[in-house]
Amino acid sequence: MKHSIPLTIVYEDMLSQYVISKVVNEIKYEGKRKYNISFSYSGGGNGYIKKNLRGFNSASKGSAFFVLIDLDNKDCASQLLY
Amino acid sequence: MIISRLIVKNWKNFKSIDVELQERVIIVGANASGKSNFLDIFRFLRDIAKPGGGLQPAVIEERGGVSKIRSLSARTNPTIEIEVHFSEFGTRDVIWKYKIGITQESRGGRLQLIKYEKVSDKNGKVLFERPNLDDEKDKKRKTQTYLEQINTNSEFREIVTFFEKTLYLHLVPQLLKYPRAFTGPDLSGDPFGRGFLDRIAKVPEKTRNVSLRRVQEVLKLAVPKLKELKFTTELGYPHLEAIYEHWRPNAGKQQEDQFSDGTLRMIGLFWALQEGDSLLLLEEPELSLNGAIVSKLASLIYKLQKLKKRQVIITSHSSDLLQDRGISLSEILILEPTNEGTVVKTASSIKEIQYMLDEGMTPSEAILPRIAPNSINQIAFEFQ
Ligand SMILES: Nc1ncnc2c1ncn2[C@@H]1O[C@H](COP(=O)(O)OP(=O)(O)OP(=O)(O)O)[C@@H](O)[C@H]1O
Ligand SMILES: [Mg+2]
Repeated sequence: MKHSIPLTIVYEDMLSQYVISKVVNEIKYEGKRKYNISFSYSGGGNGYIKKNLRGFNSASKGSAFFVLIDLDNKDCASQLLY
Repeated sequence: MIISRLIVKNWKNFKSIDVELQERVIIVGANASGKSNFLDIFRFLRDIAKPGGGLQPAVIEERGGVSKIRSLSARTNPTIEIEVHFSEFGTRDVIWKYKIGITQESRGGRLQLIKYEKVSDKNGKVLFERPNLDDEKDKKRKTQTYLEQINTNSEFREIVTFFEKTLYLHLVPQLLKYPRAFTGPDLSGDPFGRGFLDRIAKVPEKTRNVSLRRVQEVLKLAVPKLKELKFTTELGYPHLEAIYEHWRPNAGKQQEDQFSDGTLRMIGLFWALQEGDSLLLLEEPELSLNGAIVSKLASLIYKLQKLKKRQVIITSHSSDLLQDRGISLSEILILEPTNEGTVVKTASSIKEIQYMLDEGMTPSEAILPRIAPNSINQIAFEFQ
């Protein structure tokens, strides 16, 4: 693998952005970072993500997305989509 | 007529551009991504074609020389190349192609020279191609384009006129309000400072009234209480006068020096859209306008540009402007800075954006996060 994989991240606030960056930068392949964060989507906390989640889900047909969201009382992330 | 495709090499922070342009184009990108430089390509062609213009002044006097124009990320002394395809408004068939390559003499006077220049028509017939025999006989000829030579460009005058009439609208309310405080000539070709009122004055009364009436109708949406917008002259000086609804008669009359900056900018914009049929360049039209009106700007521009079939290229930072779902992704150009210079993409060529819109996100929601400087939140972290 020559280049790292571009990744779009979606997060609620600065804290979760920081967590994602830390996690993503830890993922290595042959000693190099596997992903690089190319774009970031955020705004208005939890509500923003819920409102646009179907959009991000659909866009991930084109390239990799990483969404970090508080599940609250839901059991499974996919429940947020429907 | 519109410019339906633009192909450029080595222009400022762009190493290479090849994009389709629609009747309405909205350019988005971070600060210093090259939005103004993109508009400058068309102003450059205007500066060559305008009366009293030409290649040498367009490069040297207006832009400080080839070294300022050519891309720093390109190899030494690259050719600056611009190719423009024209179509009728509302169609995609190519009716003209113009292209030009510019280099600088490596020795001697270091003049800017035509490396090549070519015009072809809708049937693909080449009207001329340079360098030709004349150019080889007399090298001085290569310092001028055929755009600037009346005796050589009669067959494609339509292109020359299009470039010449290209208008860059950057209305400065202060220049208009306090004309006597600023001396010196107006910027040629960008006459939206002090010259604006004179421009309105020169239009035949009937046309002027019709155009002002349309401006007034649009203004009423944005400016509460505005009743009427009129043109008047006082002691030989042209003025704009607005009448506001007011409980006292005559108390609600104002002249342009009392208009708000946003009101003046809207008047300039909506006037310019009706004024000509050549390309109109708008630099951040959202400035000093209220968000509610900015969100209607794209559709207002479209309504007015249709009247004269005027192509409009807009630069913007505004999420309100891009909130409008009536804007097609093929109308949006995204400027993405890379280590190899800025890359220009049509939003419709990025499938992630298309998918997001299909799921109900607006152009602004899907696109603006991509052009925001990625690390801005990280900067905040590092300073804590
Ligand atoms: N000849 C050149 N080669 C490479 N880069 C250049 C050249 N001339 C200018 N630039 C770069 O272009 C950038 C400025 O671009 P421009 O003014 O078009 O940005 P902009 O998108 O309009 O920004 P803003 O949103 O701040 O108005 C600067 O970073 C400048 O260094
Ligand atoms: Mg700019």
